[in-house]
Amino acid sequence: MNPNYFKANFKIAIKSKKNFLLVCLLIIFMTFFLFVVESQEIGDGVRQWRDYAESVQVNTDYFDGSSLRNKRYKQTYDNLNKQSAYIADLQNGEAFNDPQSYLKGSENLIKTMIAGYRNNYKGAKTLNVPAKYELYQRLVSYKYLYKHHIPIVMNSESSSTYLIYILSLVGCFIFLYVLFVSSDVWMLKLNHPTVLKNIPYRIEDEVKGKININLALTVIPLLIGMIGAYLFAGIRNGFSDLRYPDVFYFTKITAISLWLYCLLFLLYSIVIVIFATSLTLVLNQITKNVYLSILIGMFVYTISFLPEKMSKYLLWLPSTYLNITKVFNGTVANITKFSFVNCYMGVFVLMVWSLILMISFRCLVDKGRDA
Amino acid sequence: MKWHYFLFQVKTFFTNPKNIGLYIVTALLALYFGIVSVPDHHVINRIDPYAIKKEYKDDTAFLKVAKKEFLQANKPNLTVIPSQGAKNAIETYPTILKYDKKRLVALKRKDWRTYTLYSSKWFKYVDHLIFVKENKNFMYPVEYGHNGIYKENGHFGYQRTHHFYNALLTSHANLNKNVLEENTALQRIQNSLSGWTTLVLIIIVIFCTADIFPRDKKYRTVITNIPLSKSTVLWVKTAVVELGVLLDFLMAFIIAVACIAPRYGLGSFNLRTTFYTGRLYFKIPFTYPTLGMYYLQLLIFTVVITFIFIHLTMLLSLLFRNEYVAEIVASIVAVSGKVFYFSMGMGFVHPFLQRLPTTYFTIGDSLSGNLSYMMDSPGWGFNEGINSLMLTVIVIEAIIFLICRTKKIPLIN
Repeated sequence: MNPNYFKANFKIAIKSKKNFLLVCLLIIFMTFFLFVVESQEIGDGVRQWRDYAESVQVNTDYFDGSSLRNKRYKQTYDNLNKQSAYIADLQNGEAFNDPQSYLKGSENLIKTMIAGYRNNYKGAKTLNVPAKYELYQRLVSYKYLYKHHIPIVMNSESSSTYLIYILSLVGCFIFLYVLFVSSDVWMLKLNHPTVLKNIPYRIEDEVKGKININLALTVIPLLIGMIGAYLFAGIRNGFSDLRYPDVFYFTKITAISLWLYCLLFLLYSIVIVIFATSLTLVLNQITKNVYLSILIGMFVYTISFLPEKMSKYLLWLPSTYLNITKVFNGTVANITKFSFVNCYMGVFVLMVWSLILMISFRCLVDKGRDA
Repeated sequence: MKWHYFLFQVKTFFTNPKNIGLYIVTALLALYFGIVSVPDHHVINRIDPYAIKKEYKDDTAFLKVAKKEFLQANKPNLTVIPSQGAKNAIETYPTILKYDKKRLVALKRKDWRTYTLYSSKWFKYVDHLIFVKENKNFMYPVEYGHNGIYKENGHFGYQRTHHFYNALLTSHANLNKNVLEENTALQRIQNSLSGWTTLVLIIIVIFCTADIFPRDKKYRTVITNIPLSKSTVLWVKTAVVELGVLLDFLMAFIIAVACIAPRYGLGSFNLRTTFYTGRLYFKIPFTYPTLGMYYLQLLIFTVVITFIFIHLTMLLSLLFRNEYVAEIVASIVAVSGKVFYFSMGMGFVHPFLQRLPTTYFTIGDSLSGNLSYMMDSPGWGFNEGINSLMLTVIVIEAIIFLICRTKKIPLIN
């Protein structure tokens, strides 16, 4: 690729008010959303379990003498009472600022909650218990902390826990961010055909150039945002270990250290940028309209929100893999009920679709030139 | 000239591919709402004769046992103390059984007025037993335990249902199961036009407006010579977008009604609904406006908020000279309230939030009084909202007036 082409186009892209604003907003959002987390006590340990404790209490109260004669009801009743005890344990840990007892209480509680699934919580039909895979997601984090002797943080406000929280949010909308950045990626060429038509660049070089520009506009602000979030939360609420665990799904739910998660997040973002750029190139060429490109791009993303029973039929569509958070924490694998649906599968599907879109784009451009 | 310019703008608005796309998106959203979302809606206090029958049977059986316990206790030479459950049952079950019997008979006869009357009494009595008397024989449905304040949510929910049933009794309208469960088209739409739904509609307004000036660049030579003042051009464009957007909303409304009404009925503007005044211990915790009045307030809010976002987006578009920047900034303004401070008790801690226009962009939350419940203080309704919104209109208009007077800022760059 000609470096001159990249330089000139990168200058145009970064000078675009829209791109500049989006880049700034992403960094500001990632860094300063901490204020919202603090004011609304998001991820607060006590608050998080208080809701569930209420639900356990209500369901325990529902059992009466006659129902407890049934063995299976009794099992649930005993399980719920055990859970109440562990909730009290972890709440004591939080109240007396004892991370060790909070961690042990949390681990025991999760194990008991999983055990409750043995009889499907018979008799406690209104219990607000999370899905089994969500419980495993929490359990692996607690086990990782225990194994690596990392002190647990009981909120989402310290450097590592805030970074984990903000990445889970950004992972949900990073595709939309890239879509907005690259929504007018080919419009310049379409709007100024007489000037740009005779510039001697091959279409492959132009596509590579556009992808590199969008990569720069996505990966760099993401990296700055991550560093900003970690430092800002650390300065305000204290630094915690970068080895702090985050949930990651490969063939089973496991936990990996935060620095590795960040690295994988950035790598997967590169794949999303390649796909989104290829998609917008094709859409720009077909619709010749930025807004229609955005609307169709958003439609592609919203397909992933269709009812769960349809998701296994959408396995080969890119929509399933555009939400990094859901791919990384195993939610997609759980919804589709296929254990092989992980980030590698996501990379494979998105790259295949990118290739198809690039070939289509090439054909469309050639057709346009011939016409 | 003005009329011709208006017609030209209307034509360009309705032939703009982006606007056609937005119309399609709105229609699809309305279809999804009518076909998928409404049938999936879960009513907490639904009308369930089997649940009432079960309660009637269980309570009758338990009351028998409780009476036996008391008989045992009253026997001489025996020191048996009746359980707390038995004492509670003796005190409360006869009233509950009376209400349940009346409700079952009314359901059998399809006498919805009687059912509503005794259900209202039932909700009031049971709520009093749970919340005030802390009677352990009764509990709120578990669905109320979604944000850690199960008892408060249950108390509010039961009080609201009690007052809603009273409101229906005063409305002299035809009652049926769908009306009582608020499933008719007008009631379902009323309850759904709040939260993220309205914010999505506002973002559609922003997208419709953002390119209204930049689009003129295409006809630069023609438009710059049109003998109309800046403010006339601005108002004509405002009228076109307002018309286009309101037509879009009307289309969505018609689609939603067409999907819901055949299955659940249309409802009536004469039906009454509730407005929470801010505290459950007030002498009048809920007022009962008609659905017609609610929709009138909704229309006023919609027109004003649409107007605010049309002019805000135009203003940003003129200031930044970039439609995308205008869209992004205006969208952030629209969702800021919901994202940053819509959580329990925020208004009690920060009363100044009541004066921010961003508080009222979710419309339905304010008009139903649910915002007062969330903010945990009175005074977040129509009157407060309209003051704050009109003040915003004045500020935006003042800035636009200045821009119209400034020659340095042309409408077309």
